Amino acid sequence: MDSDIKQALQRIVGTENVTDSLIDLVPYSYDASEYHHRPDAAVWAQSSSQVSAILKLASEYNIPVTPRGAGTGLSGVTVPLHGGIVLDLSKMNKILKISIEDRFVVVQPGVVYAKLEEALKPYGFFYPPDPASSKVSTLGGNVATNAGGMKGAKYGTTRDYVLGLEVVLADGTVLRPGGTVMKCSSGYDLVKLFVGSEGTLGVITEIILKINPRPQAVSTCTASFDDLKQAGKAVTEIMHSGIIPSALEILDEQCILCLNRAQNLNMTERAATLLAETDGYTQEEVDFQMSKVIEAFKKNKAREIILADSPEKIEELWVARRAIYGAVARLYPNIIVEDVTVPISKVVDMLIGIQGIRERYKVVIPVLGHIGDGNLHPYLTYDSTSPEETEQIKKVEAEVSELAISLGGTLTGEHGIGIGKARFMTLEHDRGEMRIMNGLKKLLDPNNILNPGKMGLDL
Amino acid sequence: MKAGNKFTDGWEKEIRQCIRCGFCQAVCPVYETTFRPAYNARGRMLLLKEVMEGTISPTKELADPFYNCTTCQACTYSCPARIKVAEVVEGARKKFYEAGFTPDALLSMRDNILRTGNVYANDQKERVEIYPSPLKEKAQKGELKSKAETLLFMGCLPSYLDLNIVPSLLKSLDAAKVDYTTLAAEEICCGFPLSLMGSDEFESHAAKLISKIKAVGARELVTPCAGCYKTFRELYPKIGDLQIDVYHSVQYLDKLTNEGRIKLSRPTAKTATYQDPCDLGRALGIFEEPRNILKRIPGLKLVEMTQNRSQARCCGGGGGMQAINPELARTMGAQRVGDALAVGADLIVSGCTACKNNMRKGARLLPKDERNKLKVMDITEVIANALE
Repeated sequence: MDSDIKQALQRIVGTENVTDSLIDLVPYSYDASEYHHRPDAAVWAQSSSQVSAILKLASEYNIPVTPRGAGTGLSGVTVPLHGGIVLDLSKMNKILKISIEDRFVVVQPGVVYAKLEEALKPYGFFYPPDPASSKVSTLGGNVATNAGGMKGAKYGTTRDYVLGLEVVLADGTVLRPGGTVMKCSSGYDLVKLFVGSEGTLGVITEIILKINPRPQAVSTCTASFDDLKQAGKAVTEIMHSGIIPSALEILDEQCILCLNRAQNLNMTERAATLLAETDGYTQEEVDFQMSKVIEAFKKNKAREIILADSPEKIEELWVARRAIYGAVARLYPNIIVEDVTVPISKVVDMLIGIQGIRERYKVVIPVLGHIGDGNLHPYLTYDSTSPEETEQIKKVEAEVSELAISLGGTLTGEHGIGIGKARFMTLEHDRGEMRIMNGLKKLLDPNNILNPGKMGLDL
Repeated sequence: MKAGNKFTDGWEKEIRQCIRCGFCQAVCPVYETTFRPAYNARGRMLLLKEVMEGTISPTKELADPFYNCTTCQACTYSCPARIKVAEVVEGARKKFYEAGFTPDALLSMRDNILRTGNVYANDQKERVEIYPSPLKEKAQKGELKSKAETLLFMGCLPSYLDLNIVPSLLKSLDAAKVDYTTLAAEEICCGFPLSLMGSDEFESHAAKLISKIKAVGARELVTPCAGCYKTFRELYPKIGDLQIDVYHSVQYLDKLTNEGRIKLSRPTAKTATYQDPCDLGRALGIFEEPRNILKRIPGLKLVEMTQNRSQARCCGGGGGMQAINPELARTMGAQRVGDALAVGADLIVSGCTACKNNMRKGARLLPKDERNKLKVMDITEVIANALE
């Protein structure tokens, strides 16, 4: 990094908060995706005024800036593809306010999801999106990617909870769209524009989130099916039954196979295993909802319905679900975690389509999904040391994306476009939409310094 | 073969298996203090990945994140892909040692051990200074029993650094009428620091101690040092059979109190919490024994810190951290003391001299009115105080 620029950065954030050491730059080249690129420097910012000064400097010298939280993204959103500065916001990790009477919290972007969860527990409140990475991922990253989780079916994703933001634009302007009100019809929704913008439009420096009272009762059950279509029918019937499960997950046969192999579990390898959770404020309410779920399972020839009757049993049922990613990782050196989302009623078509892709390419693709909201995670496994496999997996990726779009779906339900899905953006978004997205990008970041190379914007 | 490949020999599979999910980052005490991704398991795996791929080379700078690790193994426990992080870090340290990139603070510790037999380069004769009379005089005159049922192995830290652990342990063992002896001035360092820094001299040094221990012919060995205990249990079996049952003081005192051979009556404090030493807890699964002991002390309430047992936050004192980066170690110590204060404890107990020492240093970073609310003690002291 140019020494004048380095010194200027040091003046903004202090010497100890700027690094161009190789040992720092190597880890900052990666996130949890298969992409990487080395930055020229990394900076830890601790206030919006510092972020503003950094962006002014970067604009002046045309230096790319890639904001970063915990770096747990699965699409390369925080990989500094054009080098430049990685702007690490993890030191901005304070919960600034918890207001129960007004149902909101104000947090800095570096607050880890689980820390907010911990802070809200004593009040009997929670912040619902619950991404699988909640132990480590930051709320800033959650907002930037519009992260979701297992509770999406009932509670939605990050976007449904962001009431207001503080955002620093590329030229250093600090905006505060939205606020602490539950409703707002005033002007264009600038808050939602920044949610899921992947650091391409501005740097988020403060977040106002809506919170919910925490349901105190849950019921959990699993059921396995010999036929995918039966599992799909069961889900359709649950949707008709008048209740919404708080989680409804699907594990396909290859997932169970991986779990059995990697973790020495002894689960029956059937076409589909569903895991359902209902939640509410009384046990009666929760049990009523679960009775509807079980009814739908039974009607559709579910085998082995297991209803958890203790907190330990609930935990046991979830253990397998949570262990899948690790189990697949233990068995295959490289994984592209897909994130396609289709209408709930099309999930089975999507799964059958993936079976076809698997067979055509002879590739292992365990599929795990939030079937309750149509969001699937096919794990595309390969070995990056084999050029053939690496080449082939790109084709597989394209076919999975095309299939999802043809079923009326989207490329990504909760991970973001980043680098991985950039080449498919025009599959999903027509010329008109792309023109508006590119226009917004040009308006807010005319020099393209904010996280360049992402979302297929400057292709 | 690309340059640097030999560096990662044997660990390629583990390195490639890292999915970079970052779950380790949520539990790494060094990352929590530094906010530098290189100072966490994921960062270390990525550095090794690039060494393996030949895009970077091993240097002294690169060695730094591998030595600035307390080897607490919290990352190993949180890894969804179950990567053997501790073993990879150990393997890397061996390579860095070979290449001459080990921090000077550790090399002088190595020299001390090899030259004088202890980590502090103290006079070996002073090992018995901490013994209470008349044992001390006997030891000085070379009149200790040459054979006994139980061999006490004090360890360098309890011998030279801490004033209370050895006398407290002896008080309890005397009360239980245990037939013991010690190696007195013949005791030498177990070699754990050599192994931690990746030194190839660990094996030959350990072999010397193995023959000294065997010569006593005792049935069991008891040590109050968590590091020594881990070394005897985990590392020595790879070199040779000690032919002796090895106990840490928390296990041994659990046994004595459970069998009623010593009776506990007086609490040292009102509310105690237990800090799981990484070398006993995550490394060897010893979680309940010390808690059993504390629960047997009438009038003492045991509370748990939010992160406990396999999730316990490292105190920052392990892995050579106190020597390499004392400031960082102290900051981590202060955090752990803060955890104890947060659950209303007025006593934090550990079974590891390094924990006790580092948490005491850490406590000094807290405001006076905060740190005065809490005592930091080793479990041997708590028991000695509680004896009838």
